[in-house]
Amino acid sequence: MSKVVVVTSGKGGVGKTTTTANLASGIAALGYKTIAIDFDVGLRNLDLVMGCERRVVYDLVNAIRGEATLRQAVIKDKRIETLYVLPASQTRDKDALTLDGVGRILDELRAAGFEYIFCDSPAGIEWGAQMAMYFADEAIVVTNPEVSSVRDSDRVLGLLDAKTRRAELGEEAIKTHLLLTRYAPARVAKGEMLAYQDVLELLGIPLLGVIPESTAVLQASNAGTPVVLDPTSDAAQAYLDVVQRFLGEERPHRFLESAKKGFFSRIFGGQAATA
Amino acid sequence: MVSGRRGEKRQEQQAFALKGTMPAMTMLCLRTADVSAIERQLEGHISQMPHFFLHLPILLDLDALGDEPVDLGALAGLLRKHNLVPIAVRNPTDAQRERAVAAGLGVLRTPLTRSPRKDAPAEGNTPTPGPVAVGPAGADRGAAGAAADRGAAGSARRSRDAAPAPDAAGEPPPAGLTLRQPVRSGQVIYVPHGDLVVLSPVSSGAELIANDNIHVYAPLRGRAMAGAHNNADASIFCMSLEAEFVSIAGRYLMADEIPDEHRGKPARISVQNDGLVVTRL
Repeated sequence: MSKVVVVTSGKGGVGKTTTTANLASGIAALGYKTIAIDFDVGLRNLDLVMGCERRVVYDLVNAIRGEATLRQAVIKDKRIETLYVLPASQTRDKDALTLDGVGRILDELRAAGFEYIFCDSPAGIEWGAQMAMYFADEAIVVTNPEVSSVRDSDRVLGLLDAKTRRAELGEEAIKTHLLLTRYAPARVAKGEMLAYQDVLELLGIPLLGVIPESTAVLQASNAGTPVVLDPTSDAAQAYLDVVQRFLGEERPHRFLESAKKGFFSRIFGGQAATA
Repeated sequence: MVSGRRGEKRQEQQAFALKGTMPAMTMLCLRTADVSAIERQLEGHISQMPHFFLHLPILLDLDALGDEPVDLGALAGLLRKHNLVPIAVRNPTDAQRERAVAAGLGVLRTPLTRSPRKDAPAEGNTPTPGPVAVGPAGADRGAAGAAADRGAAGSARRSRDAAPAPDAAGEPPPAGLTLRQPVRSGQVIYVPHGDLVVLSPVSSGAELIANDNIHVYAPLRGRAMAGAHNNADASIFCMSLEAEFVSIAGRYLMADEIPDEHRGKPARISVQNDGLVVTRL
């Protein structure tokens, strides 16, 4: 059984690619055969974040057009045995994606035994984003705690309900998950950010996780190593929780409150509780 | 049992059933035969609410014109050019009747035809072509996009909720629509006949349009336009009034104009003395 999961948001820069890289890595590390596909044709990034940019020979568009076999286009990760990446083309535009072509690629990946197929959507709601979501079984909607990001996510949720294969065939709706990224509880307390409760109230879909704002994420992106591979940071812990929840395990949400430096923690050098 | 079987057989043989129906329709009550003046006013209405007028079936009422001849061929062409669908004329003179048939329009046989009371009926109980839910709807984004999404959202809704197509020809008009899922930003739900009932939140950036009442048993954060075909008896009901814009039969309130004491509270919006009033539920 394989699952096609689209990681989408509408708005750009909210953390779709980071989320794709970390979820795919986290799930693959548990032994599931997993692939991450970059649908951002023309602005490819996933290969960089996953650290395989030097081994890109063929790409998604080559595979769709039959200029390369899927086996040639797919890159095997060097760190995790069961992790693969299918990069986007940097030189074409999104019109190179076709519904038939994407459907065929996904069928081939299912036949090749991939259990989780992550589709990293481009920003926006245009062709590329619609191609990424069309065949999805589940969707992870990445949102930042600010009003414009929430509205764009709401728009995307509407499209997931209307412009996907499941919607067109009248099948069971795509299962949607909310992932709140760049969450800074201290700034929420000051009223500079929306609280997670507000976002949940506005979007009305189940919360998969809250990823705290963290410099570790930026460093990891630049180094091409998803944070989950070095689980010392809060963000890495949060992503690992998300992986477990996505696989069906119950885990309490963490990093929702700012770690207050109390009297004792100040005296004893501050191993602040992260409850 | 025998009759039952015969009934089944008859159903098999019949390709369709003929039914009489009285759907609510938009009527253009002409007050002048000047086609270019009609076009100017029409363009004004369409630019304010393009998605409302797209492919809208239109009846032409000629009663107010009396014997003044109007070029029905040119008028029908004008309507079609603006993506409206002229269907038939009402109250034509005999000369106009021939022109209507020549222009590909039907002639509606109503008791009003050739009524001796020339002034009362058309003005009294039929919608006038005055502003039909005119508001700044759609002004802040591409109208084409909104229309395209309406189709997409509409088809999804139909498949889920088994609601008939809004323009299902020949069948009696559906009695409203009930939606269970949230209405998301960018979605337009249009119900040409009857009430629209929404059981989930309506997001900011979403749009509800109905000819009769709109009920939202959840927060209403988007836009709602009830009484879209100039039905001033319609109301909007919601459990939490957080709307960006509400309109009934052409009268409207922007978010800023909704009194603060009703924000976030259960409310009814209705027409009173030609304006909109908000009352606590």
